[in-house]
Amino acid sequence: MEIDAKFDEKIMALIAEAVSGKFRKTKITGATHLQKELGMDSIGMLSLIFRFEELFGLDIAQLGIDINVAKLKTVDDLLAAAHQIIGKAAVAGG
Amino acid sequence: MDLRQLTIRLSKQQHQNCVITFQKGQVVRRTHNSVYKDIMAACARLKAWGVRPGMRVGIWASNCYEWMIYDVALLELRALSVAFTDDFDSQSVDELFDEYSLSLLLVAASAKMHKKGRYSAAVAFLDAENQKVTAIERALPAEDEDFENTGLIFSSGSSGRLKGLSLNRRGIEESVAAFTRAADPRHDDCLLLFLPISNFQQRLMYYSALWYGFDLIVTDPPRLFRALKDLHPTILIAPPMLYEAFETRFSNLPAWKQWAARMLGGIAIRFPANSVRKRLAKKIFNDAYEALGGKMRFMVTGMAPIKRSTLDLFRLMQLPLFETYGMTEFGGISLNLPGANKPGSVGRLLPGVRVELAPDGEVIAVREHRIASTYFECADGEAEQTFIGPDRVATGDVGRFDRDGYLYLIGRKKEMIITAGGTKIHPEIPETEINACPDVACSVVVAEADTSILVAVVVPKNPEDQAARKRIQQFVDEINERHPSVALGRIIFSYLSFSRENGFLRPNLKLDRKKIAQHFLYGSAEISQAVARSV
Repeated sequence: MEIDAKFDEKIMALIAEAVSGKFRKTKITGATHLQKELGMDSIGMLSLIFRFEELFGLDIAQLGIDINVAKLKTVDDLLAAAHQIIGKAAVAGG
Repeated sequence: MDLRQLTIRLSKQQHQNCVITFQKGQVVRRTHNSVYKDIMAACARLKAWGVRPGMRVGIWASNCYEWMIYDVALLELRALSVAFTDDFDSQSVDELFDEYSLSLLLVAASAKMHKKGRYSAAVAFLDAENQKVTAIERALPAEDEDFENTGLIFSSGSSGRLKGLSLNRRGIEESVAAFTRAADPRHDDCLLLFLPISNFQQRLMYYSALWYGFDLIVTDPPRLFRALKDLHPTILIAPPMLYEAFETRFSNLPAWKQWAARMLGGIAIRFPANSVRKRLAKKIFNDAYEALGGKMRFMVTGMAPIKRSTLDLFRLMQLPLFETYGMTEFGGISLNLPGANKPGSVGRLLPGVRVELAPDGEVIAVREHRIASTYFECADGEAEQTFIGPDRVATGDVGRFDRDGYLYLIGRKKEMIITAGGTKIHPEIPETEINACPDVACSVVVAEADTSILVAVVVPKNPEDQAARKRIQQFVDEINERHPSVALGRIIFSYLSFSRENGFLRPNLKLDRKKIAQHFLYGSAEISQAVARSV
């Protein structure tokens, strides 16, 4: 599994899908705060992570990665976590 | 049901029901027969460590199969479980032993750091081999011949402070039996648990599954969506925010797709034949059905009010979502059910439950036994205010019944506002009216302390739409014209969402109106700092 040029775009699209009503028009950048500026609660974050697993055909628990959603504050944090997961998956997949 | 007979009953069951968990990423299914053997093995270990009836044994771990096994083993041994929640994360093991007179503490193997300190020999791993564990001998309370007190739990109070509750066996049994009689689970049902087991509601559900015989999935929140999709549960109990996440996903579809789905869904729901109706709904709302595993027949929500728009969407999708109402201290009070459902109400009373409305409308729940016999930890006067008789609990909620016996919650008793003109109002009533404005995401009505003038804190749906403010103001003016005695003096627009992180929601996800008033009316520096920290 590799990180292609459109990887970040795909993650941004997943985030946009998980944003609710009043926050939908917020411009999403790396510094955007997931909870305050995009209104994402813990269940919203879990749903987003599962959509990520589905999109890339991964099972994060099987990779032995423990994600603490409370520590994912900004879009950049989420992107960094996504890069880390794909990196681990690539190593695990040989 | 008799919790003292749970293990025996499990040993005699002929059905093939399972407990399903994830372990190291793999799905593990255990029949009730093998669950029984695991419980007996846990009993043997506890006895070997010196655990005796009446001793207090703490369990401090996130959801796992062993949590459930040891809990039932402690019931079998008639020892008292003490279920520690995340709220104790900042406390040391030694403090827990001292404060709660524990004889033993069970923790996850991943929490090896707890195996340090003065009591390390009395700390055992739930999910790993243990060597040289010895329970601490303590002076035990008088013998509890009928095993009335089964343990201690903690609950986030509406005051924000943690409350400690002493569990009553018969109250637990009556609560499990009432829910089971109402929901009527079948042997081919499968219930998904993902909220922390340390929150007592989850334990009621597995007692029910083991006693009455249906499948159970035990997972932790991070694997909730995988469990839903891959393990196909038929019964789910979850807070409103889970169902609202489905609504969010639907609302983010392109407008034409939403329109088409709503139109087709509206046609499908009118088909007289149930099977056709269901098939069409599954096709139209395939994503939601798939995400929920495709077999869901009964979904329940409670703990906080759910948005009416979410209930309406689930109805349109023909996904069976029902509101319930209960209180940790008491157990379940009411439940909407298939065929007996009024959206906006919290349903009819569960079997064995009676409700009396106090003169001020407060809901007084009555049943022969309640789940908690008393608080062992609470604010001054809280126990007397709540446990107002041997069989009754004052809920603090104000409610009303309709002529068909459905209960509607109007608001919290202590949040009632007395206006400058002396009129008593529940803020939820004007809030519901304001929230009906299409430009409003949510609103909170508070009163200025010195003048009692009502102020609406309004979060608009679209922060960038400047014209929305005028429309909202006009909408509120019209409400004021209709109800001059409870007129809203002014509106404060906010673009802050209300969350646990910024302190505007309490740990139980209810609005902290006091904090909202302090922040928006008086600009409390302390709360502003908390808001800034949450960013």
